Amino acid sequence: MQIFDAQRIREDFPALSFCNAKGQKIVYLDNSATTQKPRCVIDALVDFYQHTNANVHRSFYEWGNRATEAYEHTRASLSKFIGAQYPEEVIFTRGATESINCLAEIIGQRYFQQGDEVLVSELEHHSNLIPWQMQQKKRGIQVKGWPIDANGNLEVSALQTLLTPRTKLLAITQVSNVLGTIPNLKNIIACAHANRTFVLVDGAQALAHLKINVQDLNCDFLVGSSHKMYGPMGVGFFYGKRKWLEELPPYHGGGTMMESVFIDSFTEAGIPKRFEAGTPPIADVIGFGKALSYLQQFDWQNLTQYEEKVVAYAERILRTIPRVRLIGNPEKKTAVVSFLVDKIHPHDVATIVSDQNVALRAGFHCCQPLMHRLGCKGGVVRASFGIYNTFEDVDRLAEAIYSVLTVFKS
Amino acid sequence: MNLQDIYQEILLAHNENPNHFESMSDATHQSYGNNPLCGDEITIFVKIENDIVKAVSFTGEGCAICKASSSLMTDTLCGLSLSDAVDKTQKFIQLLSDESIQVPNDLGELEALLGVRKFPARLKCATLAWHTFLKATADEHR
Repeated sequence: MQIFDAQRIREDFPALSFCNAKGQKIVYLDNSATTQKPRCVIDALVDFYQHTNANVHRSFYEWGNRATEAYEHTRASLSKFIGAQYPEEVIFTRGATESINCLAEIIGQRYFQQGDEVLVSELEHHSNLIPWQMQQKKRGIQVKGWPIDANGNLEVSALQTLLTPRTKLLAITQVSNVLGTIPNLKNIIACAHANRTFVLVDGAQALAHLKINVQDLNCDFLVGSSHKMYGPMGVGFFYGKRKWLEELPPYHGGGTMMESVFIDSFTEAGIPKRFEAGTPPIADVIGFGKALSYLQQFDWQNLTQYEEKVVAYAERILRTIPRVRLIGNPEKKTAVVSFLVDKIHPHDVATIVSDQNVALRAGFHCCQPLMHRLGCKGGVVRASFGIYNTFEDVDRLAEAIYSVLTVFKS
Repeated sequence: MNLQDIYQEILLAHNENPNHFESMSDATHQSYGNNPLCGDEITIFVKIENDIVKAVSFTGEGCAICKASSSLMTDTLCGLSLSDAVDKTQKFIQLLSDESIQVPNDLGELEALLGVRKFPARLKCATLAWHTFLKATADEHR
């Protein structure tokens, strides 16, 4: 097994060489919010605008052909990356949030009836809650919560009691952005399918950390964001099983999504075009393709294991610091450590560590229901990791937290 | 950007032992204010008699900056006429938000809060109490 060399990987990310005025290098621990971009992704964006800038799907000149080819190449790479059966099962959007909003609306339009239920786990990000709550208002469905246990796990046994004949869809994250919990999705999906319930997986926090295969998972839908996978911002995608996508109506109307248009009517294009109205962020999609090929150089077992080791080290070191309390203790987790420092508000912690060029996030992390469940009224401090984080980063984090304790001496 | 600018001793002291940190049973005005993104939440209590701010107090939870700012605000506004209190509050919010405004020399302890001008992410923490005071007394000065 090859050694995972995070130190070498750091060299691929120009932003990580940033130093503050005191000469301290950035310790970037906000990867759940967004990851840094490797040079090859940044170069791809510049290269597109310098040498290929043209619209896709409808230009007859060389640039247009090249743009279309590179754009569709990303679709093919992404479908392979997530283990989809067909490239057209992958639809580009502006991000995971737009993906869920789009899917909630078109799934709602096609399948929801008054009195139907949508089950959401308590781990969900607001972006996997509010779109369903909006359907609740619009179509008279019921949104119900699947509570976590005291450690932050989702128990399949609990799911069985929550599914009813009216449960149309289960919306669930693959990795919690606060606790790092990895629910046992394969069992969960099988259980939901036995109840004829669709499963939408929010893969935003998982795709940069775990090897994913949608056919193996057997999920009906999955969403993700490029910028959390070392790719550009402003691009995401959803995956849907072809049989469902073919049944679903378009979301936006406009160019590309139609076949024939008359003054008072139109006919819909097939998939994937039906869901991609308007000019997409082409350069960003191509940059996303570069990020995928960058990620593909790694042995995923190595990558996952390395990140787990860094996270475990962080947990171990944080536990030795006075007044620090870790939040949640899920059976399987990755990439994220959330904690509190006794009597010091998370915002004060994050502001003070930033003085030593340590980038953390503090607050609710777009998970207010989860914060209520955890009893964290002021939110939590979160350190989230990526492929370029090292054990030294954890040591710098620890030092910075000691400086928080110094500022708040009492 | 300097950490000492924002976490001054005086603010840490107010955070540790805030003044007027209690509810008020005979308040004539009160209002709840929160910063939904971060979780600061406070309630401001005001007692106004004959257009004079007789008492201000607060309860709630928040970061050190939010709590210290609330405490300093209660000290500042007590005893002022309502119109002076409102004027002072509005001017102070502007002063915190806009670095181009010249700092008046009669700020007293409030000067300690000016550090947030270099930490825009913390501006909301520092202004929450002041906005909530305006909300509580809105009926009187609209």
